[in-house]
Amino acid sequence: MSTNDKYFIIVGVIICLVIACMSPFLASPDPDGLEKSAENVGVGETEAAVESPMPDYSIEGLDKIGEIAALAIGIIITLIVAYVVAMLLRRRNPPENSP
Amino acid sequence: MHIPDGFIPLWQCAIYYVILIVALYFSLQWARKNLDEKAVPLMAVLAAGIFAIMSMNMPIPFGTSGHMVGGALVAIVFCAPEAAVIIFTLVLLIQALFFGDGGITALGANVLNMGIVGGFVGLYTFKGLRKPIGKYPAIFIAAWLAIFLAAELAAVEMWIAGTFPLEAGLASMGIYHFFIGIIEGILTVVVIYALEKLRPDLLAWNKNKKLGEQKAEESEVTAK
Repeated sequence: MSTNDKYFIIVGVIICLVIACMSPFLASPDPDGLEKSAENVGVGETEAAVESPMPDYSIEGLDKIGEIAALAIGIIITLIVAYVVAMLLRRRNPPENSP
Repeated sequence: MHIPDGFIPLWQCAIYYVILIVALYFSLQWARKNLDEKAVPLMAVLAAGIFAIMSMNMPIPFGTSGHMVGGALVAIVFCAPEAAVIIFTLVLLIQALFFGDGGITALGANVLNMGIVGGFVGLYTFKGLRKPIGKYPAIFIAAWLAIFLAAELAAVEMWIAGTFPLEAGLASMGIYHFFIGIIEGILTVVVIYALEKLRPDLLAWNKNKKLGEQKAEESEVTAK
C-alpha cells in the first residue's frame, strides 16, 4: 500500500470518527422517513429476528459515550470487513504483470 | 429507510434474497475484472463512511428525520453500480447483525432499494445528465433521484407485503425523502468534489481515458 493510500485511509477514518462523535449530539431523535410512514399508516414496531449486541447504536448502561463507542466500533468493523472483502474480490493480474 | 424484521412476510423476503444473490453474482464478476488493488482502500473507506453517515439523522419537516444513503455516491465514484451492491451488502449486513438497524430477514429488500436501485438510478441519471447540465448539477439530481426512488420502491414493497396501503405509503415516503434527497444531493456533490480535488486518481471517470484506449485495443484484437 502506498503512503498516499495510507493517508487516505487515515483521513477517511478520522472523518468517520468525527461524525461518530458528533452524531449522538446532533442527530435528530425524530423517527426516520420509513418509521414515520409506518406510524402514519398505523403499523407498530416489530421484534428483530436476531438479537443484536448493540441495538440502536447504543451500549447498555452507557449514555452518549456508549453511542459514540458503538458507532466507532461499527466504523472500524465496516472498514476492516470491506477492506478484506475487497482484497479477496479484486482483480488478479496475470503472474507476469505482478511485481 | 432500513426495513426492519416483521414488515415483510418471509416468503417475500426469500424473493428479495434471490435478487440479492443474482446481483452479488454479477457484482463479483465485475470485481474480478475491474476492481483494482488501488481501489481497495477507497472501497473500505467508502463503506466505513456510509456506515458513519447513516447514523447522522438530520431533521426534516413534519417531525421526521433522515440520513444520507450514498448509493449514487458509490456508483458514480466507481462508475459501476456493482460497487454499490457490494458495499451496501456489507454495510447493511453489519448494521443488521450488530446494531439491529434493518432486519436480517429484510436484507435482500434493503440492498435492493439502497444498493441496487440506488446505484443504478444514481449512475445512469448522472451519465444521462452530465453533458446537458454539467457534472455537479448532474450528481446532485442523480443522488436526489436515487434516494427518492429507493424510498418509493420501499413503499411499494411494503404495499406488496400488506404492511402499508399503496397511496398513503407512496405519499408519505415520497414527501419525507423529497427533503432527505436534498441533503443527500448536497453531500454527494461535496464528497465527489473533495475527491476530485484531493485524490482525482481514485475517481473511475479519470481512469476511463486510459482504460478506454486499452479496451478499444483489446476489442480490436478480439475482432480480428
